[in-house]
Amino acid sequence: MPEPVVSIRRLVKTRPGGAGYRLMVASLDVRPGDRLALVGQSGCGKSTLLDMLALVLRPDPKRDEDGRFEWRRAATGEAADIHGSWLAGGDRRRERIRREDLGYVLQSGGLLPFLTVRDNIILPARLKGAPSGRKLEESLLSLAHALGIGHLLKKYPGSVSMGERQRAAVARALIHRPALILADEPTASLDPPTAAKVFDLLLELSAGIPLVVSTHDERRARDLGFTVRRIECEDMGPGNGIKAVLRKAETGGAGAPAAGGPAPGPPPERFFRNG
Amino acid sequence: MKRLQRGGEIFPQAIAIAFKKYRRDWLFSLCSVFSMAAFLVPLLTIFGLKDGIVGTLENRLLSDPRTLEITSIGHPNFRPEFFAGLAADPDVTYVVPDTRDISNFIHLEREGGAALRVASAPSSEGDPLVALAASGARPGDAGRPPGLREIYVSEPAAEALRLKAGDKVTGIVTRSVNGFIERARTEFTVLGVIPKQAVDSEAVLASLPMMRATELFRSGYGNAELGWEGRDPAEVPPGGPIYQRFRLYARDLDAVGRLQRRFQESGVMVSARTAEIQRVKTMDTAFSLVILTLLGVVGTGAFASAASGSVDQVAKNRKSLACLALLGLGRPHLLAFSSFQAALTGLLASLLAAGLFLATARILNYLFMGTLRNVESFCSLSWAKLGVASGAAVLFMIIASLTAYTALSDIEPSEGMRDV
Repeated sequence: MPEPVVSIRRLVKTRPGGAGYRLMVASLDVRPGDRLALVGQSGCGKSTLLDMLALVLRPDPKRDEDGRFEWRRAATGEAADIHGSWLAGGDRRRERIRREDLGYVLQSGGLLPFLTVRDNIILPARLKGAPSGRKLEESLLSLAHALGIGHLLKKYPGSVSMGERQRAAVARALIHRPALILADEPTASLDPPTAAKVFDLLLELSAGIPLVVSTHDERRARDLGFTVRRIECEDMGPGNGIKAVLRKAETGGAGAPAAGGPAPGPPPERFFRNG
Repeated sequence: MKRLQRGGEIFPQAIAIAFKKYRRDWLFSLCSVFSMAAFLVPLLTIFGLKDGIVGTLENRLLSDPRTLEITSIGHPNFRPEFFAGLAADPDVTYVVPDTRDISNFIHLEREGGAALRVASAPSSEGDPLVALAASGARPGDAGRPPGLREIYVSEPAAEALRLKAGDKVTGIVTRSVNGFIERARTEFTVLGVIPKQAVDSEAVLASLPMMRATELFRSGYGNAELGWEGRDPAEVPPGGPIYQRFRLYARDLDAVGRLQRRFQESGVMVSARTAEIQRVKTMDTAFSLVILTLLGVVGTGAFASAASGSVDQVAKNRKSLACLALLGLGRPHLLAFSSFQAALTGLLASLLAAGLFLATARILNYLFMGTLRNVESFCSLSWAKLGVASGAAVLFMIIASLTAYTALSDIEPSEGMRDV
């Protein structure tokens, strides 16, 4: 079994203010080829978990020796300690991982309005160090044609439809062949036929790259062979806030702790009590 | 794709993206440029007026050698070592000893014409007045100090005697002995004519030995070399020549005041055009104060405007900046992204302001053409100063944009990126 790209044990994210909110992830491994769907009610923490995976949201410091948040770099094969990187001097390491190893599809596309569709798509490749030239142009055209946006490359995001913007966002997440693709409800703002098409294209073009998607369309995720991980929310009563827990894989396979892999840690309920 | 970039290589990409944003938001960029130029043009114009008016007045002063001239008054005794000390002074460009009053005039007579009494003064190597007489001088004579039988004549004297460079003229020195008038004659060659703006009276510049010979002749001594009769100069009391006056030229306008103060402190009475110089200096100081005040007031306003504009831009572009951070740009890259646009605004604004200033200066110079001489200007700035002003404007905008760093430091990529 290949080494996980991301390996998490006993991860906690607390959001202060109001009644408070705490997300608990007892165990999560994402390996090459995995297809993982995060499902759950709105506000339970799907985007929070994706943002922590994207290294743009700081998790709580680990509470004990069993806590772990590691990202295995594609270039070096070494596991970077993400928890440690947030403590001191790790900004550049996380920025580099975001530049080189990560593709992220946002719900609204996340394209930069002042760049053309073409410039938006090739930006991650340029930031990764790909020289502008025939090879990059071929990758761009190949992706753009596969996604049906070849005729939109000179346009700005503001002048294309939401579906076209999402397809451009998919192309941007793939152009630099990242080690992990995250997609935050990538089809939520699209009509069902367009959503289906964009989802299919994302799956087809990301073959071999692990994909973590947050979605409300659990049935479709199961139909497409995704391993579903549910985030369940629990209101702990007045003054105690909301506690969200990432449950174990419901269909087995990707996302569940692998046999012979790292210890899964205590069950979420006990984890909560300790927390 | 295999070639991995280090963090430092992201800056060119950040700047390329910033340029594309600047171009895409061209209307906003244009407004920023115009608003910055609106601050710069009046400042450049005031700078130009200061440099034009004060510069013209200073040049007028400097074009007159008498401005830098310091002459002694009274009857002190100066020994040669006093002049050696002055010659080594960095504030002094030229100094020559002068003889007593009795030798400071001479009569000039052209063949068959009337004699003209002219003032005489000593001259030697490096005399600024001699340099002015270069035009019209014969080849080889230009700038050459006068020899024993050579003189430079002032333009009024040359006009009165119809002299030009190369002409011969007879010099007559007189003395009274026991009630009888004795005359000594010497034929001089005119080396050149000193223009009227330098010497506006009838005068000649002669060599120091000639001046000394005249002084001794009037004291009863003769001069074998010149064929003048009288007592033997060997009978002159020992101790070397003692001078009572000097002609001195200061290095620049500031040196005139310094030298005058030093002479007064050491008890030597001198005469200099310090009042005229002071008037121009006072005007320069007044202009500088006005400019500094305006620079303070306008600069503070411009800085506040530019800084708030930068912070506003960061706030407006928060989503895009969050998105760029998600793609792996760090805070220094985002700062470069913002600062580059500010610097571009500063550069374009200073170019626009320089163009508008040049047009304004041309109009002002045309309007005041009547009061100006050739190559003088009422409003002008050198290209070097315009370059410095442009550089300062760019730097100013960059510093103002740095204030946006505080706003940038609050940006979390996880906030706002979903709204892009």
